[in-house]
Amino acid sequence: MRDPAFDVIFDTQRIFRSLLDAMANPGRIITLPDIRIKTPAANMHPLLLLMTLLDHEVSFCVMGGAQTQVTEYLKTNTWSKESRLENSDFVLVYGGSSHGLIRGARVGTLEYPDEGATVIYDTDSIGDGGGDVLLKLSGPGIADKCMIGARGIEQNEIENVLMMQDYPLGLDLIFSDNAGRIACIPRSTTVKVI
Amino acid sequence: MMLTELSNLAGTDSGALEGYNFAFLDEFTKREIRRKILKAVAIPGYQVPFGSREMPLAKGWGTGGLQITLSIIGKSDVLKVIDQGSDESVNAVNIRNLVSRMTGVGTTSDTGRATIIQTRHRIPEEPLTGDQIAVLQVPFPEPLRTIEPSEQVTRRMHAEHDYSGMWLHLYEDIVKHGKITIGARYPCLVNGRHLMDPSPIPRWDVPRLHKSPVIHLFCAGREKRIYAIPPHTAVEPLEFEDYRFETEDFGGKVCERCGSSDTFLDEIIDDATGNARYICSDTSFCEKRQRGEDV
Repeated sequence: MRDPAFDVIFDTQRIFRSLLDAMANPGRIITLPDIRIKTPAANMHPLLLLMTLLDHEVSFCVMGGAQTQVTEYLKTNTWSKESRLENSDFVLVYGGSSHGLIRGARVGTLEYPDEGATVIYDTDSIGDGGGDVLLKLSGPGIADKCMIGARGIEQNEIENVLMMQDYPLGLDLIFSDNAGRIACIPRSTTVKVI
Repeated sequence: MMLTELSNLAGTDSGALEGYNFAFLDEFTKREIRRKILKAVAIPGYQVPFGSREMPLAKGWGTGGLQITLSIIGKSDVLKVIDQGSDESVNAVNIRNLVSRMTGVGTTSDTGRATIIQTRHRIPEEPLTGDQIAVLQVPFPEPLRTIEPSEQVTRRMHAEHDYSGMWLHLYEDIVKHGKITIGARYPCLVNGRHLMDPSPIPRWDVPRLHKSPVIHLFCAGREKRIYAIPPHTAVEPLEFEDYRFETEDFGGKVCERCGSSDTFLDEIIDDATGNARYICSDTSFCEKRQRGEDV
């Protein structure tokens, strides 16, 4: 059953602008507009992002959590295709870790680096300090340096992702927490785990 | 997102023209462009291919910029459109009217009030802020096209960070003419990695892209490419240690309307006398200065 609470024109537009703001300013914590949908996952916010970005032209995969129900929900609501990790344009990771599997995600090619995947992490909370990981960011979109902390994501996972980043190849990360806050770390960002 | 649903959703309560989807483009098109914009932002200066659509505007007249604007715009935005610095040229007026009719959003010529500024060949003189988005219309997205006609080859050159051909081009320019003669479209290295065509902005505007607090989105409709410069990103024009990049020199000329000596000036030849006159290219800025506003 498709979610009638979601406005495909105006809700996607507002969510996209939040995403653009977050992606253009890595580490900046942005609160998503207050849009509520009923989802099979405890945290609906990662699904709001995917409802905005997915359609039949791209593919996705879900790792961990209520995998089957979430996959069905996204297929029904976006017409996007479920795919194996190595072919997925979008990856949604629950539970703060892919247990090393993320290293199989697509990083793009030197001629088409934009084919690298976008990875969304469902996290408990994000803030500018504390949590399970604390990251120091610098690079495009950041005036000097900035710090970002997250609860509900394993440091191992971040280290796995950082090993894959070989600019311009790599993954673009979006952290999405329970309170509707998001923060992005695109591949252009230099990350130091504190 | 079925078609029947989309026709029901067309913006009757948004002030937009009935019978069309809000912001003209269909939602699938907007989604694709939005996804490509995010990738463009994540890889500053890299040209992301996209499926450019047929627009109610001839190719080469801003269809790229228009598609970006229509994909990002929302009800609370305020739009400004300029063409070579002017809000009142035919191209700017047409695009502004089209977007306004298709969305119902407010428009302005005041740079400070706009949330989205679509521009052709200029960056406004008034400093932009981090809350604004600059959308630039691009005729030729590939900076290497002047030295290499094949798209396959230029894509490989970007992949390999092989810009020796462009350096040689600049060197030959100096050998022949004693200086680098590129006027507009001056090649710039973005984030130390990708060579980028900043669109036909004058050299005057190039340094203003460097570490700017504003996000700049570029789109070439005919050539089907989107690229971006996020805020606070290094944008360095190519230059040699002994032949530096230079902006235009107006030789002490001032704008005859507002008296400004620190803006990009248009040279206008007076038909009757044959004398050159100089006025600010950015009309909104010029008018503010004439009114004595602090800009």
